[in-house]
Amino acid sequence: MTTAVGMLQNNGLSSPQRQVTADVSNGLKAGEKISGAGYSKDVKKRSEDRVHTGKVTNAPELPHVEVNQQPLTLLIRNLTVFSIKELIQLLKISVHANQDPSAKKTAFLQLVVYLRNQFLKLYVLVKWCRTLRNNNFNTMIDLLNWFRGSNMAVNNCIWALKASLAGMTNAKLPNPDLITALEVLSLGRPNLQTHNFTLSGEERAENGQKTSAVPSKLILKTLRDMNIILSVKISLMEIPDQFKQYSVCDGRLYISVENEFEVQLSTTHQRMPLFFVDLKLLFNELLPLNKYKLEKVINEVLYKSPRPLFALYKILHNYVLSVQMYMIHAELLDLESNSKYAGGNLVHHYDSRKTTINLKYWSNSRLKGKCNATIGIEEQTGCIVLRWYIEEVAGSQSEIPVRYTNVLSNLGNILDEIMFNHSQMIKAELLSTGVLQEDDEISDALLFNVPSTPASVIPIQIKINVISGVFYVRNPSGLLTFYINQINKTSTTDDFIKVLNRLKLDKIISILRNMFEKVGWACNNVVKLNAPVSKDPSWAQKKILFRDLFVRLENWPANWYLIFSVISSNATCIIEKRIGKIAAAKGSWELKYLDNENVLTLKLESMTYQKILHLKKTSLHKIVDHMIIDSLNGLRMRNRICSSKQLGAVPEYIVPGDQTHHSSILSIELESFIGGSSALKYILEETMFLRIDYHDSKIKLFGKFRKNCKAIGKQYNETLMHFIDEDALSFYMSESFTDLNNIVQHFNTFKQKLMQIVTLTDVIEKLHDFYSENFSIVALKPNEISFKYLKNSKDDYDCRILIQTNDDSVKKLEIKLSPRNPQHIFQPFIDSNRLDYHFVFNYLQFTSGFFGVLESILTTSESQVKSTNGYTTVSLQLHNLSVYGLIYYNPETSTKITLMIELRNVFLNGSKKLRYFVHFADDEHISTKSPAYPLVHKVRNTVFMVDSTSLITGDTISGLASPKRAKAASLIRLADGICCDAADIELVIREVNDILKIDCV
Amino acid sequence: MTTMEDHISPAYYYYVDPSTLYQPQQPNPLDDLISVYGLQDISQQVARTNPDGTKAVKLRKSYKNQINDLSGKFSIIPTRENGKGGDIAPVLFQNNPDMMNQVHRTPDMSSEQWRQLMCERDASLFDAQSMDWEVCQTVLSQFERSHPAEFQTHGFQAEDLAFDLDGSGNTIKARKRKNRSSGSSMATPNSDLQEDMKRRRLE
Repeated sequence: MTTAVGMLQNNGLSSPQRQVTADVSNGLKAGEKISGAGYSKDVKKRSEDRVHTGKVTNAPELPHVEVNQQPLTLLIRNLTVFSIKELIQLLKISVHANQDPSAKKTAFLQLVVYLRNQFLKLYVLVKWCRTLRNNNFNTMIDLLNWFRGSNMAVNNCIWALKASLAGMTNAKLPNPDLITALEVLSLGRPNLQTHNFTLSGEERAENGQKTSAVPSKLILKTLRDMNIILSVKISLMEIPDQFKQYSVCDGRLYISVENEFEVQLSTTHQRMPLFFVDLKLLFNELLPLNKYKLEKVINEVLYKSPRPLFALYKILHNYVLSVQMYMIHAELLDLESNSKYAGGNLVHHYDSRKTTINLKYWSNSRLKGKCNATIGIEEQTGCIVLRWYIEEVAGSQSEIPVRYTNVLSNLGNILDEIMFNHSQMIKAELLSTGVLQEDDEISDALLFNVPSTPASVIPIQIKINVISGVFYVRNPSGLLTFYINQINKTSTTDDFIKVLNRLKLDKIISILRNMFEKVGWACNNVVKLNAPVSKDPSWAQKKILFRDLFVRLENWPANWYLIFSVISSNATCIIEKRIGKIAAAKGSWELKYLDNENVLTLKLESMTYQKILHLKKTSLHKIVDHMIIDSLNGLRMRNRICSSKQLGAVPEYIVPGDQTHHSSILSIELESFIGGSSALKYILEETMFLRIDYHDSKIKLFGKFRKNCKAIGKQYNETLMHFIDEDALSFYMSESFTDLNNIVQHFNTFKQKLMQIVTLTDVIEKLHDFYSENFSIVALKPNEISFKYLKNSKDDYDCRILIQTNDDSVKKLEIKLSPRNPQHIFQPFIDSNRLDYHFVFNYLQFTSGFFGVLESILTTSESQVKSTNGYTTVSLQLHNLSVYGLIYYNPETSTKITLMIELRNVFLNGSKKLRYFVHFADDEHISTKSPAYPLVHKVRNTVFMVDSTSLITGDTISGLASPKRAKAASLIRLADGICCDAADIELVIREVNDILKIDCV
Repeated sequence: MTTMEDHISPAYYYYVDPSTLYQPQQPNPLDDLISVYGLQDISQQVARTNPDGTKAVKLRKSYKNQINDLSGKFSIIPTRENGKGGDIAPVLFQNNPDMMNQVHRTPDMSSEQWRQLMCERDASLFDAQSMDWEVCQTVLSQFERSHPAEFQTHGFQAEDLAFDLDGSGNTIKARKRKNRSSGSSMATPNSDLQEDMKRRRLE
């Protein structure tokens, strides 16, 4: 059996096809290709076979595939021929090639192996082909091919569907009628039955075919029928009142509502609903209508509503109102952009959902937000109404209309009226305040009086622009423009008036400033205080405005101003004048000083140039007064200015004799002037006076002593103070000043001088206490007092006090004793010990008697030494300030007697007193055999011991019968010593000395 | 009367031409086409799985099993992958009449004559003008006695000859034939060489 095997490519898929055995001979040109006919014949044969085997099916023909299929015979032949040719070729080449035999051998072997391998494949193929029983492998290939082809066709179909789907995105199909939708989609219109009638007249004219035309009789009959149907139908229907005017004509029902619309309805059958034919808007027939949409809506209403005509009226009425509202909106838009209201004066907001229009006029004016009107549909009447919302109308002026109908045709006039009424209302309100007056000549203007000079006013015309609601003035100045702008920003009448008053105040200020500057004052514009100078809490409520004007002259002390507080109310204007000091501190202005006592209140009308000129002359002195007061306050000195009225209360000596020149007088409290020291309180009167004489540039400080200090007063130097003749107690100090700014510097001089007086007086007072009989001041200088106090002083001075002062107080008193003063021995103690000078003075005073007698003893003893045998010498030893020793020494007998003099505080009759205590030294023992003993003994007996006899007789000390002795009242004899006071020490010492100075024999 | 619309739009919906008669596709893809075309045998023969779900014919990657009945020891199966198979397609499908001897049947030729002509159409290849036997002899005589090593320099392996020098190929063959299993063997229903075909491949 020969099998022809077609090969698909070379990979061994074969399509077996059974062929008759004779096909070997059939393998010629025709046999190489198996024709479709042959195949079908073959199939037929096979199917016949299957009929026999019972497995036959009437299989449809498949397209046959022959590509790449060859008969197996041809394949074998091809390979065989190829092999032979290859072999021959190889051998031919190998014969002549000078190759290595082994290479030739290898090439031959390789060829053989190669060819064998190809035959091997063919062998496998043939072997596999033999396993196919029915030789129907080719059918499988055909089937596969058919599957591929079908698959491709299905794919193409899907893609085509998809593409057509994309092309039909715009086709929208109504749900219920898919067929009609498709018609419309594909044809552009539905396919309607025409019943062979052509309603178009043109076609009939062209073709003249009467068969297709509607007979006119039919048309007329139909119309008549329709009229009847409609008449019957409408008379059976409920009709709203607005639809009473209807007519039936031409197969239509004409319903017209006045000023609103005319609607045409029709129907074909009595039981059918009415449907829409046409609509006309009667108020504006030119308006384009979307009748297509209206038709849909109206037909739906007519069809669905249980009371179709009521519903129709409602919908059409609302439609008309909406259209009218829109027309008003359009008209307003036009008015806002093209009419006189252009420029944003008129603004409206159209709410189409609520069908309201909110209107705002005068939107650039001060009352913006308050000028409102609303256009809307009134609920009761159901028509369009403009309502003007104005707060003031609610009250009294009820005659002003606020509700306007017929808005659509009359909008411009309504707006004009509203704005005019509003302006009139504003005017009336402003006039009611009384600040503004009505102009007699020009009715729409208001007058406001503004001062032009302190005494006169000029009226300003203020008008309202009816269109914009803005106030304006004719030919305004810069100031006026500014204030008009301010006015146009105010929202309330009170603010309005306030701005006007501020304008007035500004004007007054500028008038005053102008006046001051013309006369030579300098107005300070820079100064700005945090709080006004003049304040009254009630002003804010009374709508009173105030402003401060700061003026000064060039030659005034720096920072000092005349402060004019301009206080202006609606009607009047008052000016308060004060003096104050203003200084800048840390970037802000501060009022450092303000004279609130001497406030001068003026009326604006009384401000004249004369007054200002007068102020120029007189103010300076007051300024200086206040400046001094300020300085004094700064130094914390209590003071008070003495105005001219109070001059009567001032002591006469202060009042200047020459009254023609101005002079200021201030009273100062002494204690605070000196700086808290109360030292002078007992010396001087508490009040001092300061007088400034401007004509001779002198400042004088007047004071008065409390006590008559004439005795010492004469001692004061002329440079220190001047006493006033008629009153010896009063005095003054004088300094001349050059600069008013520095006037305070002189206070220090005064203060120093006063301090010196204090010190001097104090010191002198002390001195006076201590030795009045012998005391005399010999020299008095500002810092030095020299005086005598010793009984028999022959010196120029006994003691000198140097006063060391610092700025405000006495620092130290330096006591210098005269070198010839017997008490000079204390000088080191005084210097070193920093003793209180009271103590020193007391001490010196107390011991002066002792030292007086001591000096005489010492001098006499010296002289006696020469005259007599003079062996006994006397010397003083100073142990300390309270213990001295007198040493009597006799070199001849070498005897020494020490007499101790002690200062002791003793209690006498319960009080502590300083006493001398004279006794012999304890440590020195004098034996009875000593030549000195008798002397000592005698002293003890006569001086120390109490003389009983004298006690009894009350007589003087016996044996020493001296007239003085009787005076020694303070003596207390203590047996081993004697106690006495300062007055008696001289007596005691002399007594003892008389005994001891006698030389021992 | 024909109007414009008749030209523009057809009188039918959905764009389906009613005049066209649409026939169902033949053959119907819903049918079991394997049985329709009587391909059950061949489909069973090449089916990878049996109807009961067990594995049927494996997909073989070489024809090693198919040439086991040959005398020879193919230790390496020549394939295109290992470079020893060569490309057979251009040889088999060459359709060049110049390369092949053509015979033409004339009307007066009897079928016997024609058959004779067909049988001998390639005999001329062995004629003297194409095949020089002397040359063949010369060349073959030049081939001396060979030893295995001399081919290696020229890239030829002796195994490629697949000579069963030790006779091991047949022994395996014989042994395997006794141990065949009914499992995964190729079904050869119409062959009397069925047993040969069904033997298990060499392992």
